[in-house]
Amino acid sequence: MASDNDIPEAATPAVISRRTAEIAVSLILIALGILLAWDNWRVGARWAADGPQTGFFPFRLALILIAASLWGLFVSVRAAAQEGGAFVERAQFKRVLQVLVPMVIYVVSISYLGIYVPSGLLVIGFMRYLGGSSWLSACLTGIIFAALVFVLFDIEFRVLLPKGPIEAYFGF
Amino acid sequence: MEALDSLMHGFAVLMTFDKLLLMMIGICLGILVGVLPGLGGPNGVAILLPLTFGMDPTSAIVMLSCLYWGALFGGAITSILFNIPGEAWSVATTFDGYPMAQKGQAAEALTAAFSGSFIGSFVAVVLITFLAPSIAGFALRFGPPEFFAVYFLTFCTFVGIGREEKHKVIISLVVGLLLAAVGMDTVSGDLRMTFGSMDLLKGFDFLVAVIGIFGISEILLTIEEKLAFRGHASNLSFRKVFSTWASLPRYWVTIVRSSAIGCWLGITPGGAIAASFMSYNVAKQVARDKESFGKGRIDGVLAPETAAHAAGTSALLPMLALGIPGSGTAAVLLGGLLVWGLQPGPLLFVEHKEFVWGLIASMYLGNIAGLIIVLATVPLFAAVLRVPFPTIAPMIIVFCAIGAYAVENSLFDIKTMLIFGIVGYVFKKLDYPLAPLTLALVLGKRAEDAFRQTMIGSYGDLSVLFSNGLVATIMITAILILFWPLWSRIIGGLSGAAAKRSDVPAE
Repeated sequence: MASDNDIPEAATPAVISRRTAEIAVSLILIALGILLAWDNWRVGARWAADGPQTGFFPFRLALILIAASLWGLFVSVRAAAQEGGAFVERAQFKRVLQVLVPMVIYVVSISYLGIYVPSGLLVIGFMRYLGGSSWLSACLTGIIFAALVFVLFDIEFRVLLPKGPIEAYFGF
Repeated sequence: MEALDSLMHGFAVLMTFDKLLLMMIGICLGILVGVLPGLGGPNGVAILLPLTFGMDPTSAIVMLSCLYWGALFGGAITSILFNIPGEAWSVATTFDGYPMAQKGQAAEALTAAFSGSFIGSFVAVVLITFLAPSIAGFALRFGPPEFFAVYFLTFCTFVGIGREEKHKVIISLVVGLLLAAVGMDTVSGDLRMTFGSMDLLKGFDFLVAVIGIFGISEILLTIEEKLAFRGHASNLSFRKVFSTWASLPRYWVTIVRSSAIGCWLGITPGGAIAASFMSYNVAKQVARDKESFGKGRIDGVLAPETAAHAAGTSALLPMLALGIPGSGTAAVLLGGLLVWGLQPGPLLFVEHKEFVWGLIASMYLGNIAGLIIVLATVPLFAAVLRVPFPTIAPMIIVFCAIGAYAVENSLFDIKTMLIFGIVGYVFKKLDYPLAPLTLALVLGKRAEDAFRQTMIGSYGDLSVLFSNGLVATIMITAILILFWPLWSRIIGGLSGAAAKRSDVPAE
């Protein structure tokens, strides 16, 4: 992101340091590599009479993943603790969660309510609570947006999107 | 010329009112996704792909290629007016574009950028017109070993040329390849890496990954930085456009050089992003007063934009002729073609002749229409950026969700997209490159198939990969590129220039 556009703000304490994040990601990747290597070995990663077995290719990929992640782990463990600074600062983390949590709820609710109602609510929520808009403009934007999406996809371009009980009530 | 005949036929197909209207819509939507923060090339096109699912293939490709043009043009607007590069390859445009806008020369910078893009893409499309059929014809003789060698070359290019730490490039590639392998094995029918989950049976779709990795993660990054847009007015007028155009012939050397650099790097897999930087640096090196670069020079805008678009467009050449996309956005287009059951590659030119030439013809028309529309609508789209982020962000999220769902009408894919978004956020913050991951994901299955067919054909003898001149050349080139940092160090060490220790490759 261009630094020119950031509003200067006092640095807040780090939630975790960059070094910790590097180490954690390397460890996760190593674990993933071992899991996948094991699964592919189980399926068969050797040479059969008719050529390579199902797990042959992915098994070797998993080994490369483990090796590269081990190297990454080695590099980040060796780095000085202070190097790299914060992975994410507390103020930043709070903002990320403010978007991520509603996003998770939105994605889960699509399975139950269809896509249109949660979409409208998502717009309303963001505008009201993150943007500080008035209820009126937030609700108007949310409803018009959801309606536009419906017209654009379901009617105009015939891409059928998931619908819930409310759409069913109106006969769609 | 056979190519010209086919092209004219392609034009004839496109010249209907419906198609032209679709073109306009496509370009406007493309510019919109190019301008919006958090969207841009690959994910923007991926999100809009579902719009085309209900259309006939010809209309769909017209729409697609116009989306592509729009997204390309849109990136320049944000780079120049807001100093926000919409895509990695727009970064170099900000170096001189934004200073020009600060000096009140936004109109000149924008006109130069659009015209440069137009010329760069035009050269690349001409290249595709005449080169793609012969490359495809040549590639018809490729067997599995040759194809595997070309895939191998693609992956090695990323590792060798990538500017990130080598182990991170390798991890990104391998994760992509592994994700591609999840699900049912097409050869044996066995399941692998599904861990008993029904949802993983069909594997990970590449488009879903792109939307999550580039779209969702970008929103998280944007909100984290608390981005507030402070842009400059575009003050574009016909008079300024024409006066800038009148000055462009003076820079013909820059334009020709940048187009050449762009086309060359665009065809090389993974080279599209490097093109704009290289072109900018070359322009700076050959200029008489190097100091004035970075302070708002018109050729500082022309050079990267021309090269970036020549590269972005010529990246479609290997995608069409070989089935190997040269850039992220080209990979998404490839994903789009696959949705209609069209398998890009040499056979496409034989089996779906009409389709290919329709696509190429629409590239010509889309490019011209794009230039006109973008010049006319800059103020409108610049205004979009002034809409507060809390209003835009949820709408982008909604479109991401729709895009992910519509690929296979799967609710599970929306959840996958979210997970990819979080992974993308973490990876981006730790400087893991994401382009290799997406490209590996789209090529993984075919790379593996090519490898297996090769191995079955040769009874497991790896020397088949060096058995004839063609395949051996590709393999050796690949290995040379893979260890590129090593060579450049040795060469540097011999000349005594590089006394400073550079990064050791992870191998």
